[in-house]
Amino acid sequence: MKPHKLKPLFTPTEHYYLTLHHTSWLVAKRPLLMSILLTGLLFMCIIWSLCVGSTTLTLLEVSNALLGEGPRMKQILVLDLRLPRVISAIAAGLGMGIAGSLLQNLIRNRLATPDMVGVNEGAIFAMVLVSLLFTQTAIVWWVAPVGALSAMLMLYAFCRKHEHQGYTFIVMGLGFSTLLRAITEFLMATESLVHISSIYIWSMGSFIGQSMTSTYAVLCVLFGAIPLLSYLVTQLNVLRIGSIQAQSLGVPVKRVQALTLILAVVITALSSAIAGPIAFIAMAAPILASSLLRHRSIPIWVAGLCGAILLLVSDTLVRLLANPAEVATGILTRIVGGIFLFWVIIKDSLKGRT
Amino acid sequence: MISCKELSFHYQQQHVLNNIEFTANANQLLGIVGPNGCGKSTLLKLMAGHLSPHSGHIETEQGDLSTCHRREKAKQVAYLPQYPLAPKGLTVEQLLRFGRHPHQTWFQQWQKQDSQILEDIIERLHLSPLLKKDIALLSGGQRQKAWLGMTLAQDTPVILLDEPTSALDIGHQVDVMESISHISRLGKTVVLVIHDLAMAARYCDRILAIHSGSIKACGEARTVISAQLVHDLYGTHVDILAAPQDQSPVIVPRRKSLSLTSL
Repeated sequence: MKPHKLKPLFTPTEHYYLTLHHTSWLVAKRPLLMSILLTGLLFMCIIWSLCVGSTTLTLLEVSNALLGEGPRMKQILVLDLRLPRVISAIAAGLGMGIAGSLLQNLIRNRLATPDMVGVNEGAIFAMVLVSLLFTQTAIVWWVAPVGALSAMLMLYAFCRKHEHQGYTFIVMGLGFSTLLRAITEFLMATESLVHISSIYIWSMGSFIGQSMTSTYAVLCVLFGAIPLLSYLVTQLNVLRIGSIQAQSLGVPVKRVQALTLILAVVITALSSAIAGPIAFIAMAAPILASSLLRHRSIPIWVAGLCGAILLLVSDTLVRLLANPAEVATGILTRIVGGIFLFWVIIKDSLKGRT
Repeated sequence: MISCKELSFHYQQQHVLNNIEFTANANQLLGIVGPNGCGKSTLLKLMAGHLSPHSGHIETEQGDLSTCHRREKAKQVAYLPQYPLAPKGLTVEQLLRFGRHPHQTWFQQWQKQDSQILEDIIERLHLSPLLKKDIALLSGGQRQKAWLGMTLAQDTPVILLDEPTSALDIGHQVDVMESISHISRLGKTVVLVIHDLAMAARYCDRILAIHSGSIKACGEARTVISAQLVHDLYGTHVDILAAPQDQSPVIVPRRKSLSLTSL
């Protein structure tokens, strides 16, 4: 018998390798580790958020209330007031993080997030228009998603004629969102203050009086989209090397791009229906997630978790800092997000110099 | 084997390629030469299926390429474009793994065969010290080798390379051409677009010369390359010398106006 030459076989070092019969899977190590850590952090944030507020509760009081024990007042505070808000913040944050990450990777630019290219402005515009036309006091939850979707489709239609390269898309998007914002402000200015104030608060992004309907809608869509998302993540990762190369590797480039865009817009639109268009989460969460993964792969899931944590922390801080007044969560995310954006740009320009 | 049959392509009423017909065989390295803008890159894109011809068709052993499913096509033909991107954060190892993408399904994400093929390529192209490195931080020569590795990892019978040695120093040029030439001996059909005629003559088994969208000459490298052909293609007078090592043609351009003082 010929002696078999033993050669160390190449094994992927950045993945855990699972195999069973003829099937095999690769699980990326660092994203898995980060997801576990961030999920842990998210749970800690949930507990913190349930404890603090106008009345500070102890851990024991919260767990009792969650189990349906203890004083009725504390049960109402935890189960009916704080818990829905926490769930909504998590759902919106997850959606914004995932949608932001999808769009950034599709356009290949970190600034290309739904809130930069007019999705939010589309949502606000639709809300204002509907409330002015039909003078409804109660805001119908699906108006915002429809507005966001139509804004995105219009922008896409504009950019299609030019080769919708990343840069064109962002510049067009910025112009488009400014235009929509201006029309909205004009419409709001023509109305009475009382009528418009509730829409104004919503347009800043606030969890006050949010509806659980859209929270459930977002959670359902996200849960249902898990298979599609994992398919898109694999394909988008290959697409990072360029669309021609990806096509040579058998990636259905056009289909992947279209699906990514649609999914990103649907998720953004629904998330903005939860608590209004909260700025910057969709941009900050994916950038943060990407650097946690050392830019190795597309951080869809980690970006979702980062978004959930960022938004939950922001909302809880707003409740704490502005107590007893209620301030729109979006105002805080704008302040924090603005500083964050400066930091990212300065860090990059410093890195570019050395 | 890949063959083009009566291939024509035009861009906004302007003919880019006119009735191109040739066959590249296995175990053969075919070099496409021609002046800038003669349509050689377009020809390679057509063969890779990134453009569709206005008439004619492209065949491999599996039949007409245009009717092939994209995944099947990716198992038949690999294509490396001229200036590939260098995405931030991507390591050489990841890039090589992407080459196995057409062979993977959700249930079979990494097989023993994938490891064997990558191991072979890493050894052949001496990529092991680069595996953990970020592609964006590599030198031009190293990056080109990484991309070549990814293209080879696809393990296709037909490999198309668009100017794999442009922008490389002479050491890396020889390095890359030696690897490509070696691979073509392993039963692969390799077609590459190349500007350096001396390199083409030395390494390619056959040369296909294209001028303004039509085939000017096709045949064995050393017989095809002549001062007349070079003049027809590029409009420049040249002298052709024989390399001391193997008599392979070396092209030396003449000066258009030789001043009296230098005579």
